[in-house]
Amino acid sequence: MDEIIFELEEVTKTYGEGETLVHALDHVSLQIRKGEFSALVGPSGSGKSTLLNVMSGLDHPTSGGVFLAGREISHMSSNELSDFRRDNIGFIFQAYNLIPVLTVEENIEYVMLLQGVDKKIRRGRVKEILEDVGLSGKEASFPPQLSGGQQQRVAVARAMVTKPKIILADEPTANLDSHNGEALVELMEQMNAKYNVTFIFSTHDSMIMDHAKRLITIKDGKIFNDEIR
Amino acid sequence: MVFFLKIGFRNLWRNKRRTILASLAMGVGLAALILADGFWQGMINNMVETLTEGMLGQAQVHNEHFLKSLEIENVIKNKAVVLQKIENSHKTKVFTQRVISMAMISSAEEASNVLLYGVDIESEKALTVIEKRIVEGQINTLDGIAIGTKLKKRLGVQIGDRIVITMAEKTTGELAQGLFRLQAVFSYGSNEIDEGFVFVDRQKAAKLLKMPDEIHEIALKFKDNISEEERSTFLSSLKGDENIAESWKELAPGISSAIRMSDISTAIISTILIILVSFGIVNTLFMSLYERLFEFGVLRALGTRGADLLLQVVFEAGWLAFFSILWGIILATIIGGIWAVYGLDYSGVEFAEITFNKHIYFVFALGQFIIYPSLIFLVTIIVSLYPGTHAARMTLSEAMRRSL
Repeated sequence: MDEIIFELEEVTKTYGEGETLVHALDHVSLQIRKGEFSALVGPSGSGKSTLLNVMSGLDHPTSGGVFLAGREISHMSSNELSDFRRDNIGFIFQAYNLIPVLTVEENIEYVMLLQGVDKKIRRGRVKEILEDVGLSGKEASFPPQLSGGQQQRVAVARAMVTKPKIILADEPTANLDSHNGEALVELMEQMNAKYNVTFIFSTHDSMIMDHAKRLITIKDGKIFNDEIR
Repeated sequence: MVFFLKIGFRNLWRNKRRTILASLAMGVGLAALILADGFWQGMINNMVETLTEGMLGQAQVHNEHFLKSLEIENVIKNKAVVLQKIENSHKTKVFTQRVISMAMISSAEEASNVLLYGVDIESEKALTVIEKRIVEGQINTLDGIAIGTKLKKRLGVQIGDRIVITMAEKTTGELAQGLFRLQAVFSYGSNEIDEGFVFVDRQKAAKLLKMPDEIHEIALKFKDNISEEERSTFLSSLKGDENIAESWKELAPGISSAIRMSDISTAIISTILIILVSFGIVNTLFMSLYERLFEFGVLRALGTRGADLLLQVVFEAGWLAFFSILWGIILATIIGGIWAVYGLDYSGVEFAEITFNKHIYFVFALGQFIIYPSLIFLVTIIVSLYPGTHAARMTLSEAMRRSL
């Protein structure tokens, strides 16, 4: 079996205090191995998004430890976390969330630009990844000129282009029709297979659940079920 | 850096209408600053010209006691030496000598107290605008007397009528009278001059006062290329033997104060306009920022550091300032250009004891197009740090939860 790339140790996240105290995550422990294609599922308000935020360092846990590639990220400073996310984590959001004023090429190369990658190398990688997601020739297009499915493919390309250790996807198919959703999931599966990148989804979509190799069910801030297929 | 500049530029034009309106508002503010400055400069020029082209000239020499009391015995000492210095100097363009005395003027109908100026009409015409102010008669030579419109009305006289001047002789204090015919009537637009000044030939006045070859005042103008420092040095060289030489700034301290006050007024107006402009910038940037909170969250999630986000906001503000400055300069150039050609008619308006009798023209100065735009740019960059810091420090998870 592959190495453990992601680990949560007794992670708790609470909001409010006293009578309004809410346990969004309640002593969650979890290990994710390299190359996994996992889905976090559960009803609305179960804690999926909070878990994804804590895993990505977008939010700090109230207690417990979050480790990515052997590094504790829950106590990193803001700048350390920014650099860490830039180099290790790819994001795919529900509403695509490409930067509308940047072209497809610029959106994809943005993170590499932050990393200080040379322009020639950046452009080469963008070309390669656009071929992978089937959008060659769309480099100069702006996001509003693309369909929803195409925009989400660009989002996948943006997340993949730096070959991060893990890709966190929050409801990636929620804004797509079934045809585009299916195509997107297949694309991510191919990426997972080709580059052995770890994918973790937060989803309600049964199609993603069908494709997921591991299904982690969250309920009331706790891991209710963890099924490896 | 270049990439962030590009993002800033494109972000600015995401909401074209808002950007155009905001930059136009800032541009109008900048144009107002430039136009106010050019107007003040024009007004000051007008005031100084009115003053120095009038009786004052750019500088005057007197006996140090003369202006305090106007007693006629306080004549310029060693007149020949002083005149020689002025004549031999390459700094002076023109000068004139005057005899001045309090006098009583009377017609068949009325009498009045006046200040009599005995002048050399040729050099007086070269130094002052007296010839242009003549509204009746002529002063090609001055054989008779020239009085102001208001005094003429008071005395009830017409051109050619006889007028009697009564003065006290210098040495004895005895009354001396001279008969003059009204030769010309002038209008300076100033009550003080038009009602209280009269002009006769200097030799005649000196003869009446029994002070031949003596004078009370020398008024002069410098050549255009003479600096303030050179003027000051030259005037210092004329001092001594009870004589003083003063520039128009010392002779008319009220005007100097008014000019200084106008500088302060310009500074206050500039400060108010810049504060208003900066509120506009903060408002525009915050509106833009709150519309894009989720996007800022996405950028942070992708690994953008807070400082880089701050930089993006500052660059966006910089572009906003750039376009505002562009509109402002274009607007100020067009309006200022028209104003500089046609001027504004302020004839008859009095300010700081000066009656404007010419149009006020806008004065272009390079500084207006460097200092004020730079100020706007600097203020924009400084105030953009506020929304920029706000964007850089926002809580990521909250920003990601926010969407429009």
